[in-house]
Amino acid sequence: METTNQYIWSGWEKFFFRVFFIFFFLLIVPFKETFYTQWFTQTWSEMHIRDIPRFSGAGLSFVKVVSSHQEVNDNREKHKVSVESEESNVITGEDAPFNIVSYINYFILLGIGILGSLIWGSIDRKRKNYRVLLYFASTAVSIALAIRLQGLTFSKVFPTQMPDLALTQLNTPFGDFTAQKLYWVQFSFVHGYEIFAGLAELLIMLFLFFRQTRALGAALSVAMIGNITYANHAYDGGIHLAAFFFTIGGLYVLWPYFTRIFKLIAKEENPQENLYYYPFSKPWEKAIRYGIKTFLFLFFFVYSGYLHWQNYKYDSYKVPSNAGLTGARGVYEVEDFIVNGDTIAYDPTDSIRWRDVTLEEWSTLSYTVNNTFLIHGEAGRGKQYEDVNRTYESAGTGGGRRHFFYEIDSLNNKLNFYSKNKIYKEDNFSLVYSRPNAETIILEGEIKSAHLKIRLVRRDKEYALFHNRYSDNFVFKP
Amino acid sequence: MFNIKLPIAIARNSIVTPINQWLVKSFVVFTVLLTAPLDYKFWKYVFEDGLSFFTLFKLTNYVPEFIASNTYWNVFVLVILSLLTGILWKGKNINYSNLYHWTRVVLRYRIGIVLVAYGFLKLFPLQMPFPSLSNLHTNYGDFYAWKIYYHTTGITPWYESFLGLIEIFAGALLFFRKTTTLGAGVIIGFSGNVFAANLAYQGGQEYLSLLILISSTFLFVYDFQRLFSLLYKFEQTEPNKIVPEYDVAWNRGRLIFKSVVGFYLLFIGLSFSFSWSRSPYKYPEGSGLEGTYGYYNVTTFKVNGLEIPYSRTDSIRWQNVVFESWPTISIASAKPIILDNSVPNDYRKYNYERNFESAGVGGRRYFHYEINDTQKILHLVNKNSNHKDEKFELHYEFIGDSVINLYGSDEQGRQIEAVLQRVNRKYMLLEGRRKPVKL
Repeated sequence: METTNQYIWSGWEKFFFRVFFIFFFLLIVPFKETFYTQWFTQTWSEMHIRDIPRFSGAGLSFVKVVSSHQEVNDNREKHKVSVESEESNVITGEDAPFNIVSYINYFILLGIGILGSLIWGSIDRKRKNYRVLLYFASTAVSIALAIRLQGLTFSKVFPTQMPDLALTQLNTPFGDFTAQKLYWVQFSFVHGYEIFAGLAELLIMLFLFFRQTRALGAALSVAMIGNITYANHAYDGGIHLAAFFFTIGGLYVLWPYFTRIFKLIAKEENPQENLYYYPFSKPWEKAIRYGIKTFLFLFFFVYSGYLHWQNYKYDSYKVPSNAGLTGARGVYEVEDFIVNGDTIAYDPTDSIRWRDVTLEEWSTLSYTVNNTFLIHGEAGRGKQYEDVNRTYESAGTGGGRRHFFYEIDSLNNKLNFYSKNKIYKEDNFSLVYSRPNAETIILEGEIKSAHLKIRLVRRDKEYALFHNRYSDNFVFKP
Repeated sequence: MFNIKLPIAIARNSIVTPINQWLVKSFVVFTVLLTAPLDYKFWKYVFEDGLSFFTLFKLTNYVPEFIASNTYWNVFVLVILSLLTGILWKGKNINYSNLYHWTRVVLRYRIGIVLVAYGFLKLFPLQMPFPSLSNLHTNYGDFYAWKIYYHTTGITPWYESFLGLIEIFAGALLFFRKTTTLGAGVIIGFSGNVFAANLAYQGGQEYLSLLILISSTFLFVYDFQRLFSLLYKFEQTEPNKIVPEYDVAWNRGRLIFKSVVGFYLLFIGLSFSFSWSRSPYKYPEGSGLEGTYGYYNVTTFKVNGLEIPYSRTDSIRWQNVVFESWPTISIASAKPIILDNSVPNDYRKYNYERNFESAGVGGRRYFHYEINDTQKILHLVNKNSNHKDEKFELHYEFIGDSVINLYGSDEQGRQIEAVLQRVNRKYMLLEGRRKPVKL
């Protein structure tokens, strides 16, 4: 039986170990009381995929960094920080949420780690090495990485993170998307690739979870999610902080393995010091170890996977759930547009006349006019309850396109429209609809005290995006 | 079969089982087939556009083609062919360890070179340039999948450069024996993703990326047992003891060889940096008509004197026009377009042939134009090879700084008159999402 005291670490090795032990401890051990009580208070029958991240824990956070523009702050209900808030722990700025300032919590924790390490070191002078603690810290971080990845993983394996493109997006010019939106939707029409990425992340989760494959899991985590971190900075995606956790966590787990790999392969030397593994030889130790691992596996792999599959099948969280008018999905030409009795002919410079109307499978209508609108800067992420707040289809695009959620009042043949652009929340209206045939819809009613009558005729439109360029010889038609 | 005298770097043969010896022989055939450019079609391709800075880059792109045109099934043919030839190859007194060593050297450099070359193509964002103004004015659904993928990377040149740096670094690791396995590991991940993406988006580089993936796996295999023992079984593992020894002459030769490779790649890199700073080679070079860059609404349109009002369905009436900063005009109309199916990757000397902007995208017709300054005439020719008969001869006239009058004839002799009104508008892509935008 080896004696751990035969290995002597240098002063620097001990110092850095302590720094990062404290750093990661504060990052993965939940400090909020609710984390522990929620296991008992949660109504399990109402569990939704938006609830799972609460159970994988979150690190200590001291400062909130928000945009000085209210609309840009992502539309997650729990994040409601008002820009006018006078709380002292809120930093606001236009660029702050996207650049290095947003990392402030990580810097604070690092600072605490350094301070703590100095204090700890002065108390613990006789210590020769921290091999045992390193094992547990590394394992804990590894497990934390694995269970926190579940959201990203399963929402790709069951493709809900990047759902099918809405018709309105297919009919929006490329230059009218933000970079962030483009980064996301590029997966929307290649579900095979999205699933492949999800399976790769699932593999990372599994590799991290089990001892023998931990090094590989950590290496893949650094590579794959390190890439995502950098990309989020390049595209202003907004989730660089979460992705960064996986990068540094992966580096932390990988580092001891990497030094040994480098020594063995690149320097072709005998690695001297074996990595320490706690033997778990006593029966009660074995019981706890397998018990915890089984529970975590069942909850974060199996249960999470099941909930995500359910969400994919019944209520893909980014896609509005209310059905639109039956069989009305399509892109429509505005054949007649009559305002207060006057017909306005097709004119791309008119600021009121609608064109390029799309109706989705769900109850969203969108159109383009030649006008400028204040764009709501949110990214369209999050798991909203209400359809009108599910803005994945509309957020991040501009160029005169408007999106409306509608309710069908089939008794009165009316459609009640609600603006999905939160800046124009008051732009709601009702129109009477009639459908003389399968391809035509006539809408009539008052919008902003003008009486409108609009006749929509569906266009037959094929999109090159879904065609095989090797075999289809696609012909573009507008 | 082969009686080439290989220099002895490893004196003692330690590969003794028949299976391992067969695998080494197959590995040799595999490497030779993908390194020695025996295919005449390849040489046609290399010189088809004459000699240019790009010729050196094209040289790195050799892939053996057994079945029609660049499909990735060629890889399986290649592997099976190598295995079969390995069986047929009877050799006596072969020092397999030495043979294996030299073959690895060849494969390492072969793969390393192509990776560094492509790395430079991304480092100076040439492979995926920023989308042109006409493409910004095209609906998302009217692109082929590959073009969306290229443009989604092209809009973030810094990210593309970052990917290029990784490619260069990983490729360079292959130039040194001791870091080969580490480099191969990175490349397996990188090219695995490239292959999957090419399959998903029909990018056209399925074969090359699969070839790189398989080759780097073969290179990685050398240390697989050791890594497995170290990481999976946590046993004390012996490092590699088979170290090649070179005499003085060979050491000099190695240095010269490495320098040649270094200069070759450096030259490619420098030529790419020039291309990127002057004008990215995928887009036409030179300037368009001065002061015309922008997006224009066509307010008035007449054919043979008859005015056609705004229309979404008329196949002749122009809806809007984009003037690029180089000599290309794109026109949106309702006329059907047979899409250009190609993925233009190579350098073309003539602007008319640089069809990256028009390939894989519908919605607009793209015309290369020549300017006749004295008579103020533009000669337009459609860049899409499926529509190359479409031509216009137009007189141009500036009215103020936001209106252009164009009048002349098309290829069918019809008289066309168009009044273009510049539209000043903002683009969400360029505004970004950090602050509220009105557009």
